[in-house]
Amino acid sequence: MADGDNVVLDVKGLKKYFPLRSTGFRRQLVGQIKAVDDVSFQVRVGETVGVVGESGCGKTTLGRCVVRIYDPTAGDILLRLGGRQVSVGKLGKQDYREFRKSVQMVFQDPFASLNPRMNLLQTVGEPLLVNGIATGRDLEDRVTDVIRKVGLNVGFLRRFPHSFSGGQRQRICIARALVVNPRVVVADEPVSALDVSIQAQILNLLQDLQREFGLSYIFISHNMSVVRYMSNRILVMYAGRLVETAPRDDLLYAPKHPYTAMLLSAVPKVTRLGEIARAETLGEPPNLLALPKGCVFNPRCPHTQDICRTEAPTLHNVGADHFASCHFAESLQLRGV
Amino acid sequence: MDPQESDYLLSVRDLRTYFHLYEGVVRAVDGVSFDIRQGQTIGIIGESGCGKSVTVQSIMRLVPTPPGRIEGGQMLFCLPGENGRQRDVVDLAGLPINSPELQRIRWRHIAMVFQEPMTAFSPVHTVGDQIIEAMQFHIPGLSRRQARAEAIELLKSVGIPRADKLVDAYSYQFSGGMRQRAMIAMALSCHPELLIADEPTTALDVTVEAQILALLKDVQRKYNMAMLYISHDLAVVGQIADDIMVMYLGMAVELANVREVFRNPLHPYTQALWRSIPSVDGPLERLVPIVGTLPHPYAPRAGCPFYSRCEQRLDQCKSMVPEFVEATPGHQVRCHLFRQG
Repeated sequence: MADGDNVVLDVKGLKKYFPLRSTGFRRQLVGQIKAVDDVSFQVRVGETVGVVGESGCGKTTLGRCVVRIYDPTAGDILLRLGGRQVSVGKLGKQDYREFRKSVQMVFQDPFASLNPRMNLLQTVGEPLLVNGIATGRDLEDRVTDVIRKVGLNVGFLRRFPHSFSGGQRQRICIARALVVNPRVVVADEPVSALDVSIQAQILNLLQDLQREFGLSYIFISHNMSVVRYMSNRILVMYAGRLVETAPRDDLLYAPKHPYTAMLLSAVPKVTRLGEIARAETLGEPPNLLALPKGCVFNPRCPHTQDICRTEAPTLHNVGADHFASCHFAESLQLRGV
Repeated sequence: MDPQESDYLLSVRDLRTYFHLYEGVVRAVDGVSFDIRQGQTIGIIGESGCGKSVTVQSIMRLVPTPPGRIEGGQMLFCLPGENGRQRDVVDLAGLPINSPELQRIRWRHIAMVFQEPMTAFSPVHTVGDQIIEAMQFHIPGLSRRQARAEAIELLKSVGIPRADKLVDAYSYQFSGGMRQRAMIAMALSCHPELLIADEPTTALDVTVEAQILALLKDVQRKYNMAMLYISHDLAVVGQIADDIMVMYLGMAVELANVREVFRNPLHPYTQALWRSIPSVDGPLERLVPIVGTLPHPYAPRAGCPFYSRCEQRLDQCKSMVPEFVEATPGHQVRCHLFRQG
């Protein structure tokens, strides 16, 4: 793993299980959904870590745990705050405030994540009020400053969300996340709800802001093309587990986990027309209520052997900064993009 | 024109569909022409507001009227005739909305797959019943037992497991991908000559999307079925289309073979689109967003629809709408930079 100096966020053994209770009076625990199951990774200063996977893989839940919208079931998140390292699991009240300012989130639906009854000034100013950072004139100055940085007109301060386009609304959400000067921004599908020509604007804006402020991003998306454009490193999730992590190009061109190869084979490619992945190679998403024994991917994997059905693999080093959770990661010759 | 001479299945000629709203007139489709042959796939790409959905809704005569109305143009559809040899040519634009001819054509000869399968199915009828209803309406003399057996076979053929059980299930009991397959089964139930797919995979994971695309291709080959595939995703369309039509603000601005559109796009909008979209395998360069924004839908229009955002514009582009010309053989474009031939 990376040396300690430039790591800003260290996620260790994160688990988030959702209990399933029976209906009826007693509401007994009948099982649980392991939405995130023992995920560990690091985020360095100024880097973007992309998180990909199909629906239900746990990437959104992971993002929410990092921002502490959910309290994790187990595991810890270490954040470097002003020279020292604090554990999110054990934050005292003051540190908790610091944490909230340091780790912010941008959501997928820019309309749903804006209060329709608060205007631009109120929306972007609220984090400053809540965190006791600024009020009055100072607040307005800071808000004006950040909305200019995201490319919005100062004249819009008193407008409400419905007067803005989708792209503008997403800029507002980004401004709101940045106004408290965070270190890490978790972006959960930030451009999926936007038109293709607007996506480019927002993606470039995010990159420019990253450079200007030394931000780190955890960029969650199901869209491989967008993740490729934005990420330095990519994490691949399946059924709540981290199955592979590597620097961007290593993952795309030389994947070591069969699921990564499967995902890459399904993505439409612009350099190879008319090439649709064969259906038999793709399988069905897992049922989180009835995960198989051994490797969770084994029913769907074209390279399954006996050991895969009985023993779950662990995430281990298979190359420079490259980790995969597969019994045969070293020996399989997998096809990348 | 002698129907037996025509080599197209559907010929859309200068289609115009406008919406007459209180605030003004929205020219949702403002001059779209293309021909589609049996077995051919045309991909229609464009962003929100370009009119791609309204174009195919016009073909299916699903445009709410009022406030919408097909203002002009023709949609000539070649129906196989009574005795299998003679073919009739019907102008879909001219048929009255509740006419028996339209009812006979819709679904039996032209069927549609929608983006949101959840809203396309009735929540209070089983999936099987909906397929059976369509078949019994269009295939005279088909008994319920035969229709049910057919429906089960259809569900099997689109890859739905335990089809004999799921035929009696409701749409909410299917997963997203399964629902889309069921909708495709329903659309195929009467073996139409033309299938219109309006963003059928946009809401699905990439692995499910690939499976649906493969399924559509298989079905096409089996039945020599033509397909109009709408998407905002260029890469997806590149997988499945023979030809691509690019739309902007209600007009077709480019129509050419898929290879041409990918390797040699002519229209400034198509070129700008390429530079603004990330891909998983193309060059990794900074994206270039398209400058400007879409004009207001009610704003009066003059000249080329792309004028306000075009970096290669000429003086005449401001006031003169370019003609849709064949710049090189098989490659049509609507732009003053190009002339016929």
